[in-house]
Amino acid sequence: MKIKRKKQLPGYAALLIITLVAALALGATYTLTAERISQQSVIASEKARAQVMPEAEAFEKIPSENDAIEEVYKAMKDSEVIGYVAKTTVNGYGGEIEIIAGFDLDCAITGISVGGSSFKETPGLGAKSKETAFTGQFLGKHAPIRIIKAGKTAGENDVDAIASATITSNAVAGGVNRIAEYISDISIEEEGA
Amino acid sequence: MMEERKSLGSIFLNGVITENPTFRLVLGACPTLAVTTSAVNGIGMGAAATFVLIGSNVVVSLLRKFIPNNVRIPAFIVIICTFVTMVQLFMQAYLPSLYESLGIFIPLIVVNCIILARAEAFASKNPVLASAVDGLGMGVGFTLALTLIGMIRELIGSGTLFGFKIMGAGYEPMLLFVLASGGFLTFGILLGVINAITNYLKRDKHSEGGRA
Repeated sequence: MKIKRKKQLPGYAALLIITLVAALALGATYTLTAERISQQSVIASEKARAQVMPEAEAFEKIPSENDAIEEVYKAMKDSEVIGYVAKTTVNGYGGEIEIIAGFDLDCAITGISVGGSSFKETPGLGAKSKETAFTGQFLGKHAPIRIIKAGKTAGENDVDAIASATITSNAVAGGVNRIAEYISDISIEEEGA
Repeated sequence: MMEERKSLGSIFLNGVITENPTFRLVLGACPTLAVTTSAVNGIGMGAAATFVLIGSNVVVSLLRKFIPNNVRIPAFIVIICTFVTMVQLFMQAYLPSLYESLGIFIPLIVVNCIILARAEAFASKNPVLASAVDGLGMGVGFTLALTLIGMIRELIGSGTLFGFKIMGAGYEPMLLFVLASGGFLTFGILLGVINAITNYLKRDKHSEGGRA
């Protein structure tokens, strides 16, 4: 036994076998989880849509004609359009931020959701942009939103910046304004049609 | 290292206390500092690393006579990578919010030196059961340490514990503690306190030649 062990497999053969088994194990895990993972992102964006447009009963996807706007949905209630929800990505302080915003037919904001899988804003500072203390301020306002230092807001569409996180605050407002611009264009088209 | 047969209990406690990866060996400090902004993150990271530790220790131990010595490091790394990627996929599928908050540090478990260190120092020389217990002990030790650091940083830096508000409304969170510098501060102070306690305990017993 001991003597045979001395004549071990050559290194390349051992590595080949190990990597082969590893690849099979990974393939199996991937197959097991792939469906669930794709569901998770669908569930997450469904939740975000419902959150920014709580009144809607259903969402109907419509094609986006603008590269910067990733997804657009008509919000439906009693088979009537009550508003639009769209998603865009902006550059924050630490990376990309996904913004989903909902607008009613008067282009007033019904809600915004901040986050996304590459959200890496500083905890305690920019990460506060996810909290309702910040996102709640957008409710009912019209684009263009201006970010103003907290306590100095004057206009009715002004939003308090998050203290020490101006870049993140401006990025979020920029995303909301971009969505607002696109949605006001399509809602005018829809009315005309 | 101690090669003579040891009881499974003492192998387990070795990882949790005697050679606690975070506070005694000071291995894997990068994820330790990076993810411990909250207690939940600490537990999540610890659990993921524990799973990888046990898995890689068991497989390395099973294959310890099969893997030729000259290719053992690449072989260990392939094994570790496989387990890490499995954890990543499962976490993405079943715990999406934890997956989001740990982010890049899940794939980086691959380069967490605790895991390669245990494969090399323990699992490649010991039988399967002992290696599994060693992985569990090291993993639990790592998890406890991360959770402790996470709790302190979350309490001071956000005024919450496991996401629940603990501090009164008048408490102004000390942001420094959820930022990187707060991680170093908390880690350093905890290391100091734990070294002081161990030194104090050692004074009474006969010393076993620990660090100063």
